Amino acid sequence: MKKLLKKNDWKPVLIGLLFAASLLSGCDPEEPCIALTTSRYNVGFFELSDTGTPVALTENFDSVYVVGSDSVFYRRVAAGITSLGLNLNAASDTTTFIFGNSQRPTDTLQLTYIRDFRLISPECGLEVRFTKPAVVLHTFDSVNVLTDELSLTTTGVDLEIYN
Amino acid sequence: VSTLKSIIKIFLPAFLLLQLPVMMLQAQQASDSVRQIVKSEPSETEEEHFSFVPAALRLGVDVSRLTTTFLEQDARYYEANADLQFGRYFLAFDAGTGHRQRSYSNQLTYQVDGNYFRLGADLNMIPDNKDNNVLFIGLRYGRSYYTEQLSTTYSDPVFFTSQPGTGSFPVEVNRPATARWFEGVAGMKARVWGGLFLGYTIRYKLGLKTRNTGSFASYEVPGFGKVGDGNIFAFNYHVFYRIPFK
Repeated sequence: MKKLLKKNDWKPVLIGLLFAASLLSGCDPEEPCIALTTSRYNVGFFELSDTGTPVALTENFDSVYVVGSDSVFYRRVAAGITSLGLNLNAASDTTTFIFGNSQRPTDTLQLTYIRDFRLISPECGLEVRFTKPAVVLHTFDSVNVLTDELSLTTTGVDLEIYN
Repeated sequence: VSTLKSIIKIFLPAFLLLQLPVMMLQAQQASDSVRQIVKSEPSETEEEHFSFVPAALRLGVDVSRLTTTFLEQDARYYEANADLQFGRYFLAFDAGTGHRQRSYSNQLTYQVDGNYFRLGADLNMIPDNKDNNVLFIGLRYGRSYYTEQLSTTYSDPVFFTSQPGTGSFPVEVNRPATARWFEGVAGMKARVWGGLFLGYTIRYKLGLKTRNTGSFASYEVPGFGKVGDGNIFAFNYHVFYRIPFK
């Protein structure tokens, strides 16, 4: 070992190893296609009880669709609903939902929001982050925005609708 | 499996690279102790833990950046490094430039171009050695000025329709932006021959803040790397030349 150290024979070998290893370190790792955001906006329907506390309300909409789109988010099959997932339109900063009901006049809910695009990776493409949703127009008794940013990790109600 | 591959790709070369200067340093220290037993001469750096007069300037290049440039056809990274020695303390400065273009099957083209610098200080944990080897910890402040371009089509997974304003739509981005971040660093620089040193730096980058990004969140920041969640580990390998002032 001493002989080896004195003669410095190890230096060219180590320098060669250095460049071989640095070639490997230049490689980029593969990127996983993990989306962090969602366009799904969870809406809950409520009414106020006699004591003034919110209680879930069963709505009997025939259908729920978006103005300017072929997408129908809900079509009534049998029983009514107390909550509904609505998707925001990434092509616009405003989405208008029409709640069709044969029992009473049609209701409208118009939401505005900020869109930010994020590149997951060149292979996986873009995702859209929706933040700061606000109600521009509605025909319900009242609405209450609860969420500032739509996220895959939150599963609760993002918007309360009182009718 | 892909995560495991990524870990192996990053940590195996990093482990190999880390071993080289360690081996050199151990070998030099062994040689030094043999020499000191024979001659018992005092080290020139002993008891000089801080001085307002710089003792040496070390200039270098980041070899790992050059390797990426060599391996990837659409990437060009160049980084120069310098440190000024004040006893056991170093004033460290890095400056670099980066260009990278990535595309995916004619559906997406992404490009980033920019310049960056890092400024900070290091503390040498082994100041008393004859070869001026450095085993350091330190802090950095980084700043980057860059332009990102993106051209692709976003296909909405829900709004599939042929009507204008919904479904697929083009996304075009071309905007300048700035970013700043902080780094905790550790590493070593070991003398291999004359004034020539090899060394590595392990960086933990955190606190990334981007500005003027508009509606497109930055994907890659020159000098920082891929943005992710704003905290990443990085590894650089350097070749230095030390110029003593006295």
